[in-house]
Amino acid sequence: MPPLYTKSKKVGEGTYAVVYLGHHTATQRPIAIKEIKAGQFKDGLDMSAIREMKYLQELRHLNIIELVDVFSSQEGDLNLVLEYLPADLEMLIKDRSILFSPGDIKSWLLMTLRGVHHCHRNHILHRDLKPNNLLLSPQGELKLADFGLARSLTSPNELLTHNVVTRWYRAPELLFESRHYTEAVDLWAVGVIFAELMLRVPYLPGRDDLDQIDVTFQALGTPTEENWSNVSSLPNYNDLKIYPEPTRSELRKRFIGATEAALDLMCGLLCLNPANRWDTERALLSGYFKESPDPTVPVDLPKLSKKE
Amino acid sequence: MVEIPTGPKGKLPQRLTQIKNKESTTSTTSLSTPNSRIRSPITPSVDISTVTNDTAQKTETPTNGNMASSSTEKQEAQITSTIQLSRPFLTRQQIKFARSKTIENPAIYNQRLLQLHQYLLKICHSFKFPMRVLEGSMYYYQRFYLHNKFEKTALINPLDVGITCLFIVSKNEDTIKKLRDLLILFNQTRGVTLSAEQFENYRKRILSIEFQILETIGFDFRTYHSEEFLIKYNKLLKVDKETSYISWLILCDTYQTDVSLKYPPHIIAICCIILNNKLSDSSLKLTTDYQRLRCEEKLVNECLQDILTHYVESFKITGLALKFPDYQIKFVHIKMEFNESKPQMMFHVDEKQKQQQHQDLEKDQFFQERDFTTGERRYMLENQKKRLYAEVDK
Repeated sequence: MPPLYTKSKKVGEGTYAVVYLGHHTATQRPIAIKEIKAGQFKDGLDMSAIREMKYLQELRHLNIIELVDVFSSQEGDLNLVLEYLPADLEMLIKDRSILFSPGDIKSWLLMTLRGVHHCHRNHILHRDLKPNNLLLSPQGELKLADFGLARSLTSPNELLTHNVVTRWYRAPELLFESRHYTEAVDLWAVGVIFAELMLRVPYLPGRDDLDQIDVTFQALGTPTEENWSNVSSLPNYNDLKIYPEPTRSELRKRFIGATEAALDLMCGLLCLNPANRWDTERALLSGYFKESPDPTVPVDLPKLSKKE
Repeated sequence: MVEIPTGPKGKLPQRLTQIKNKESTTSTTSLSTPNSRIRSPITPSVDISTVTNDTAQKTETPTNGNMASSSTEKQEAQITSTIQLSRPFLTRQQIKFARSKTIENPAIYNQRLLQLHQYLLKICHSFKFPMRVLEGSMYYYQRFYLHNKFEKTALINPLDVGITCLFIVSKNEDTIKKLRDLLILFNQTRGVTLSAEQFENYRKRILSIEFQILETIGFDFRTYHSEEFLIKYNKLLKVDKETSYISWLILCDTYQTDVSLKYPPHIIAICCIILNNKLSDSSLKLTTDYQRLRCEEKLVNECLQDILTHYVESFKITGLALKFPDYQIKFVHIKMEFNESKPQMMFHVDEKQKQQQHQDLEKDQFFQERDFTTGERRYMLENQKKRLYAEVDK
């Protein structure tokens, strides 16, 4: 039989793979193929590739990218066949010609939370949520992608690396270089994305790791023993400028147009203390999703204005 | 439905029946073998089978070896495509059958396995790897030799396969070390010195073995940790820490055996606890409520028998023997007692069933020699089985 998938166009080069556009020969369904060249790296198959396969082979959810196939080609290269998703949320946020209605934002946030909820109930941390990794299907569905940093939750005495999540979306416990953390790191990132959707600019754009700490706490207040017990024992908790927590009216001024329920949800997700931060269930059941307007139906969501 | 490009007309029905057959054999065997084992919620149930999804060429050609060359000659644009479903647990019969094809001399194989275990154990200690890395490495290693030839003439050194398994597991378990460092320590451990050039070649060889191992395990990176269950069950059964230590030692010794190929991790864990209970003189009340622990009793007994056999036959090389050299006789007694009381609580196969099973195995393409060099080789977990049959069953 002819090759199962055709590769038509090279669209990008990731850290460990070349990405092609192509089609499933039999159905002409468009797909994306990550081709991993064999024997190219000093340390063999990249860990990100292993993670991506490990988690996406098992996760099946409308709001998570589908891994369609894994195959080795005749030439001995490993290929990951993924669902083809032409746009991402970052492109939309940056496209100034598009207006977001409150229903649009609610719809994207809802789909993000549903995807994250599915990961978390399978005990998987994504660890790299950002608008750039939230891909959009032509039908408007949002899907979590890039599981190259994902890992499953382990026993509490195991040390984890704090060097995860793209800087602007990094939770305070990661900024303090804690070696123990939970699903809460993903929810912080969702909170920052929520703010970004409302503001249309990155909410906490630190220039470097040090600046990120300053930017984060300037906006949300510096955590203290009072609202986060034992925070001062974390490795990187030192020389901090103490900023007060923002008052509600300050937040209202910053997020004009946000309803009280929207601010409640955002503050729940951006709670400094990970132990008190909202989990996906609490977020999904929050008043924000119950009040009007309804989340926009995915097909009616704004699309990129110009074809890239 | 997906449209499947078909081969020459008239050949398709033959292929269909083959696959149908396989489906039915799968379901019949699963009634009488551990395939029907009850699993813990985190261990997804798994099934099997390799299905060849190409034109009828494959069914026509007598051996797999000829298949490759003939198909490339006939049609250049055509590609042989095979699908491999992952199958992480196998029955005793299946393992025996697979090994009969790959291993000529079981004695040498076992000797190498134990030698490797020693080396990898040392490396795990040096790098402070958790024990589950050793568990996983031994699991991958043994899986590898179900489908690849283990002989003096084989091109790959078994020890190299072993260290590569450890390398893959260390990535999968998020305890990655640089391959270079791993190989330097491995060579030190076994007293091998290589020149810089030789070392570079060695590293490259390891990387090519890595890919072959990954294909053999079908890119299935799910992990099975008996240790987690051991700790949880011990807590649940209120075994104190000191006593439970022995069950942990037993668990570590199971890494020298092939129980991880046959039984899911919670079964292995409960077996270690049962054995510990029998070894300790304190008559600890063990409520073996198998239902609640989701352990099937027949499966537990089969696993117990395997572990007991290992202790009776190879006590001296086990880790437990280092701490409790006088336990050997205890194991002999436990095994005798077990043989008297338990056999009726195990899986029974009469001669006729055995023959049927053997025939099924002969037909099962999962156990055919694998070709990792030609065609498109697709890999799936069993959660895609529905899709697979939809594609093939057209």
